[in-house]
Order: sequence, then structure tokens, then C-alpha cells
Amino acid sequence: MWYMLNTDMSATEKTDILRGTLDLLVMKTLDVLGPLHGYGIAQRIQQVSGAMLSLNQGTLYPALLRLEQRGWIQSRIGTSDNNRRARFYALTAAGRRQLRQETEDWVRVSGVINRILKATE
Amino acid sequence: MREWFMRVLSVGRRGARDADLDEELRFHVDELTRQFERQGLAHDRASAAAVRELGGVDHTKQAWRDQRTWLPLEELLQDMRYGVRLLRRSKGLTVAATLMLAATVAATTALFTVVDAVLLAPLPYAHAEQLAVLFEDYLTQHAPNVSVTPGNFLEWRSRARTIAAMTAIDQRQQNLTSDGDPLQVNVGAVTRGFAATVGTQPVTGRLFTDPEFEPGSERVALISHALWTTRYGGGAIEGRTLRLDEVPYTIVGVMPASFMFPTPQQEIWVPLPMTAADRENRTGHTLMAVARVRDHLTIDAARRELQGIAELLRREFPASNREWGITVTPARDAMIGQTTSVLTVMMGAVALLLVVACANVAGLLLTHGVGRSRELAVRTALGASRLRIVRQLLTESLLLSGAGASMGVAGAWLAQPLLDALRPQGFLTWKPVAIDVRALVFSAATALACGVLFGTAPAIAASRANIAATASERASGRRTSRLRQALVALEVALAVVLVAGAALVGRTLRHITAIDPGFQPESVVAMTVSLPPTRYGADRSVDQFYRALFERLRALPGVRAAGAVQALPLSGNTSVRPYHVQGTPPADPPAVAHYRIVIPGYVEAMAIPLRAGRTFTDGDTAAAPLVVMINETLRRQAWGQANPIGSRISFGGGLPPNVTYAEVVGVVGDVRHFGPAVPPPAEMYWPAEQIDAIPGETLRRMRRNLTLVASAQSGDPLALVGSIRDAVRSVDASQPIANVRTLTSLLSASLWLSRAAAWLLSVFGGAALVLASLGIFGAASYAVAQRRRELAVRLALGAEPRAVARLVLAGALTGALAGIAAGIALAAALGRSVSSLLVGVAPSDPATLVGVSAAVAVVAAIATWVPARRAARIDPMQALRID
Repeated sequence: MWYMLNTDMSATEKTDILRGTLDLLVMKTLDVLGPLHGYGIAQRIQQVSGAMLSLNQGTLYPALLRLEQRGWIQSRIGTSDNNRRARFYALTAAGRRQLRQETEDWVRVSGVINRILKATE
Repeated sequence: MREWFMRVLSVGRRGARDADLDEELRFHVDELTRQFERQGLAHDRASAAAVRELGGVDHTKQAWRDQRTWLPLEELLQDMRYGVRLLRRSKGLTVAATLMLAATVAATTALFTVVDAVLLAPLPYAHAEQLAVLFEDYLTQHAPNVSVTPGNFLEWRSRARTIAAMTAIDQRQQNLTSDGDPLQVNVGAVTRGFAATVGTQPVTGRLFTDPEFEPGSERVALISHALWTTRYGGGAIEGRTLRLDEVPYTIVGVMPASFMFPTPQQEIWVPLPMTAADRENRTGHTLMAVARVRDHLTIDAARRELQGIAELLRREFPASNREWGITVTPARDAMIGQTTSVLTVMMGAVALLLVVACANVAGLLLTHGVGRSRELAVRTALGASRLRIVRQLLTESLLLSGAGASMGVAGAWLAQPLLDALRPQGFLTWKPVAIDVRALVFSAATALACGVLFGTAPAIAASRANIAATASERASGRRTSRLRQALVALEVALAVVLVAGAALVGRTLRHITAIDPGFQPESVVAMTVSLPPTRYGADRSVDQFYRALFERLRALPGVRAAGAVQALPLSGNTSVRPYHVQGTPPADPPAVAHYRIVIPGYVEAMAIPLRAGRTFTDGDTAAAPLVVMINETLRRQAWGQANPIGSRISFGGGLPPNVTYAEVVGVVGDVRHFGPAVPPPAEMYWPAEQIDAIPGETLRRMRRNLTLVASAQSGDPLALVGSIRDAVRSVDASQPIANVRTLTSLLSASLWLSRAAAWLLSVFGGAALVLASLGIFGAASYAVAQRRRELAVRLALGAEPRAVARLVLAGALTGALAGIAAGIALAAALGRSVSSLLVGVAPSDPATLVGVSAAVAVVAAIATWVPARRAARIDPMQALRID
């Protein structure tokens, strides 16, 4: 039993790390492409990241709900390309500010980390 | 913040968004499937891959739902919904448990409101914890609460360093004769230091200034809020004049409604100047002293210093102070007195009752939990953790306790008028006895404590039982049975304690009510008069007033006898002076007796029996030889077996060589002056007209403030009041009467504490006994149900039904007997806490404890009888066929 417990724990740790970045990726996608449904967002993220990032597409939906609860995105029912009912998500003004903030943070932190990694090489 | 707000908002709401999510995910999977199909997969493999890519549809839904609401709250709501459904299904359990809790919470809440108002609410003074009431301690007479002499008060005040401010009050009854009908009012003459001691500002106007305490300065007065509104309509008041006993005073302010210094009945305050004569007066005990302790010092520290000062005064003024010390009492204790002990005992009793109720509900839930073991096993199998199940069961018990508490508070709310009606008049509170926020918080806390108390054990037992699951159901049943027996023992033990308490206090009450108070209170009414010294001065005008009045009173139809006294029994007032019997060696310290200044007819009106000699007559005038009556206690104390009639005793409290002797003409029965529970004091009676033989203003002042007593020939003595008032008016038109009360009401007020304690404890004890017997019955019934197969086998193998019944009886009674034993031990240990309520019976009275245990044992046996008979009547064939 114990090893199952172990893998389970590491799995939660991974999603935890992913969570913050996933929010950022979703918001960036909506910023670039405008209102989009969940499937579209997943496709776009996978497309851009290529094989580098494997996205468990199911985790997208709790993330979308969370962003909505925080007021950074809003959603409404619309019609997809193939004429099906779908929920479209769009960035709010607050979300746009948040995205700018988080992007800056991300760039700064990754820059610092890069410098540290280079220095210790 | 916003996220949490949204999540909490959506707790328990399963709406359109959930349905939408299904559609959203279906759309996502369909799109993915099409994508995979485009990449060349067959449809079914493509859709499987799509689901895999999503990470599972149900998993996603669950993660989404977890994000949507706040899970712990959602679960709590689920538990509560489930609990309500379950409690609704087992109606019997719910109703029984709720009612039990409601009744006990109602009792607890109601009592708490009283305790809160009396013991917890702060006194209506700033920093009331610094206030102490000072009395002189008459060391040789064991009388610790005697009024203070002006001389000693001034010495204390000038010497004490621990005291920030000190004031003395001379309480007087005077007639207010301005602005309306003559009214007898309670006037407090206060010394300098009043303002700093009480720390209260008037609602309008100002306090006294220092020059106003100088002798001969302009007369000023403060009035109470009540007097302001009733007599002056609450209008402009400063500068108006009021007349007290014909003397004009200028009103300078109105004290707030909460101000009751030193009693709630106080209506007017005036400055009391201290003269040079007062400084030397260390024998006239007329004042009540109140002190405010300095900041950061305790009353204990002040008491130590003041007792040291009293000791110095004993040495400096041996003539007056040799036998006197000082008593320092915190203001709250002085104000509420004996009520504290009663309330503490009652609160303890109601807490015990609450525990009994909780134990009972716990027993019910325990059996209920065992009945649910199958359901719990299924839930565990489906993945519910043990903690989760304990939590759910606890939620159920909290629901129960919450429902019970709500009903209880509602009950207490409805009972509020009753509570108010039960409160006697003299019961001092400065906060209304009412259910307020504090009471609600208290009952909520009680409910929570109850829920946890009776919920935890059954919840843990039930969750443990379900791990063993149905396989060892019988073993877990046995464990439950043992736990129930333990609960039964607890209930029985506490019931024994409560019933024993009720029995002890009940015996006390019977003891007290059987005591002859020494007079016949039925048919006697009393009221006070207060003759102003301006019109009733040094000449014989007082005597003329009383003679004219009593001539009229005795002639009134319906009046059997009428007289008057300066200190009415049960009124709380008394006066003491030393005495000396002529021809005996002077005692050291001198013997003292309580004295009664009376108008002839007093002994007859009160029906105090005459033991020897005669009572006073109208012939005992100022001009006639001085005469004294004594009571039996004084006769025993001073004469032993000898005949006192004709001997001579000092009149007016003199001691050799300054003594005036009077002849003892009569011996009357003892009167329980301080209430039935207190032994009668030694008493001497002096005729009112003869006290001019003694110099000094004290006795004369008392004579102007007598209490009239009249006994009716038949019927309600209060019916006489109208004609008595008319008689008083016909003698002096400006003379009011006040404080009208019957002696019966005084006697029942003096018994009130014991009576209330006996009633409450009986109710609590009875309730505890009923609850305990229900608990015994439940546990025995459960044990029979549990052992049904075993008992059936025994019967089938030829056991006598009687033997089977005995088996059950023995098993069930074990817990009860253990409880009784523990209860006796506990009652004996707790005995000391009720000893302050007991008179004439010891706290560990063996007869009471044995009787109570026997009674509880009988109740326990009766409660077991029905289940035992059921056990004896088990049909073995039917019982064994069940499984």
C-alpha cells in the first residue's frame, strides 16, 4: 500500500505547481484569442507548447471555475463553430490587470532563477 | 476573498451550472473524439482516447465540484440534511431526547438569568470592586455587623492609608410635606466623601460641595430619579425647595435611576455635617460606612489596615472601644448576602441535572447507534472514513441538542413572568432578570457542550462497532451494554445527590416552619410613622400624639389590639444596650440585651405570651415608676432559676455607677426576631413614655419613628389600613403612614430562601430521578433484547422463568446499585456546599442518606421490573427461530 500513497502525494505536488502556471496560461490564451470555450483553450495551450507540456485537460475546468470565482474571467453560453451550445470564457478588466501583474512576476522570477542556474553552472 | 465568498455562497446549491458542466464536458469529449478520428482512429477507440486525454469525465466533474463549493461546509450541510431526515424517521428518540434537553436547558437558562443579574452583573457604581461596606464588630457579642459610631468613623477615615474615600450614611425616615400629599421618604444623610466614594454623577444638577458639609450651612438635597419623575414630573428641578419635616432644603440635583445608595428605596440625600461632639461620640451606633479602596489595592489589604486601626482604637479609647472591632465586606456581598449561597447551590444542582439528561440522551443514542451498525458498515465499505462517520454522528447529536436548546430557551422565555413573580420584594438586583444576549450565548454554549457530551461516546462506540462490522455484532452489543450501564450508574449517582439535597433542604424547611416564631403573625398588620422633630420636640407632644392615636385605634371596629415598637421582628432592625441587675456584681464585659421601646398594647397585638407578672398599661407614664418587661432568654441569662419579678434592672442601658434602675414587672415569651432559623436574643422592653428618664437624642429619635402594629379580630388585617390611616390623619393631618405590610408576609419573606431552595431542589431531584429511571428502564430493555437468544436457550433448557427474570434484574440493578453507592459518597462529599442552606439537620445526615438510597433503589427496581418480566415471558421457540 505504502507506495501508492507515495505516488499519490507526489502527484498532488505536481498539480499544485502546475496550478499557478495553468491559470496564467489560460488567461494569456484568452487575452490573445478573445472569448473561447474550454476545448478551444486546451487545444491552443497544447498547440503552442507542443510536446513540452502535457496537459491533463480535465484540470482545465476547475481552473476556469476558480478564475471565474475570483472575477478574472467571465463566461456565457454561446454557439461553437459547428453550431453546438458551448460555454465561452472571456477575460475581464480585472483579469487583464491580473494577467499583466502575473506576467511581470513570472518574467522577473524566471529571470532570477535563470541567472542563479547560470551562475552555478 | 471573493473566491471564498462565491464558494460559500454556492454551498448546498446544485443548480444549472452542474447541468451545464455535463454539456460542456460532453462537448469537449466530442470535439476531442472528432480530432482523434481525423487522425485516423476508429470511433470507439477515438472516444476512449478522448476521455483519457481529459483525465476521466467523473474525475473532472468531482474536481470541478470541489472547486465550486467549500467542501467541509458542503459536507456539514449534507450531514445535517441527512441527520434531520434520520431524526425525523426515528421520531420516538428525537422527541424524547429533545424534550429532555429542552426541559433542562430551560431550567438552566432561567437560573442563569437570575445568577447573571445577582452575581455576575456589575454593581451600578464606577469600579464597584473597590467598594467595601464597613461595620463595627461587637466582639464580645459575636455581632459583626453593628452600625458605626461617628467618632470611630472619623478616626478610621483620618487614619486609613489604603482608603481613597470614605463616607457614612445616617438613614432616616422623614416626611416630605411640599408639592403634594405628605409622604414618608427614606432620607440618607451623607458625610463629606460621598461624591468620591460613590463615583456617580447626577443626571441633572450637581453633587454637594465641601462647604455644604459645614454645620450651619445652607440646606441642600439631592433626590432620586424615581422621586423626581413621580412627584415632580421629571421637569426643571434645580433650585426648587422641598420640605423635610417642615425644614426647607434646596434641590441641587437628581441622581440616576440606577443609583441605589445604600438601598434601592433611598429617595433623598442631604449632607451630614460632622460636629466636634460627633468626633467624641464613640457609643452611638447610628451610621453605615462605605469606603472606596485606593486603585491597585485590594479590599483584603484595606481590611488588614482597618483591623489594625480598630485595635489601636481599642487601646486608645478603652472606655468605649474595648469590645469593638471592624468588619470589612465587599459591597456586592453586603448587598446580596445569603442569596449567593442559594444561587450557587441551585446553579450546581441544575448543572448536575443537565449532566443526567445528557447521560440519558447518550444512552438512547448509544442503542440507536448499535441499531444502525449495518448502515454504518455499508457507509464504511463505500469509503467513508471513521472520522467522517464520527463527525456525522456528532452532527446529529448537535442537531438534537440545538433543537432541544432552542425549545428550552423558548420555554425559559415563556417562563420569564413566572420567574419575576417568584422573586420576593426584597430581592436585590440592579439588572432586570431577563433573557438577554448573555443568556442566549450561555444557552448556546450549554447546547454545544451537551451535544459534544452526549454525542462523543456513542459516536466513537458506533464507529468502532462498525469496523468490527456485523461479524461480531454481539460482542459490540455487549460493549455497548457495559457503556450503558456506566451511564446508568452516573445518572443514578447524580440523582441520588440531587434527591439527597432536596431531602436535606426539605427537612430544613419543615424544621424551620415548625418553629414557633414567638408571636402570631396571622391577623397582624404593621406600618411606620415618622414624627418630625420640629413639631414633636422636647415637650410631651409625642406622648400626646400616640395616646390620641391609640385611643382611636383601639376603638376601631375590627381591631383586637394595637401597639407600637421601634424594632419590629423580622424587619432586620434591632438595637442593643448593656444592662445591669441591681445587687449583682458588675460583669466584665457587661452583659447586653436587645431593647424594644413599645407603646402599651404591642405585646397583646403580636400575641406574645405573658409568662409572669403583667404587661405595660396606659398607667406606665413618664410620671409613674420606671418599669421593664424581659423575655425568657434574658430571664435565664440574668436570673437563672430565680424569680425576676420585682427585681430591679438598669433602664435605658446604663451601667454602674451611671445607672437608673427600673422594676421588672413582667416576663414575656421569646420572639425569633431575626427569623425562625435564628435563636431568639435576650430582650428588654421599655415603655415609650418613660424613656425621657434617659438623656440623649438616640432613644427619643427612635420614639418618633415607631412601627404601629394592629391585630384584626378576624379576616384580612390589610382591611384595617384605611381606617388606621384615617385615624392617624385625624390626629395630625400632615402625618403619612408608610411601609404597610402584614407579619405573615414578613415571615414568609424570611422563609423565602429556604422555600425556594427546597422547591427548586425537589423539582431538580424529581426530574433527575425520572430521567435516571428512564435510563435504567432503557438499559434493561436493551439488555433483554440483546440477550434474547441466550435467555431463550436457558428457558428451552429448562430454566425457571423466575430465575431468568432474576438474572435480568440482577444485571440491570448492578449499574443502579453502583450508582447509588457512588451517589452517597458524592452527596457526603458535597454536603458541605449546601450546609449554609441547612438548619437543624446535618449535611451528611445518615437517616436522610439511607432513606434516599432506599427510595432510589426501589425506583430502580420498579424501572427494571417490566423488562425482567418480558425476559421471563420469552417464547423460546419463537425467539430461536428468528435467525
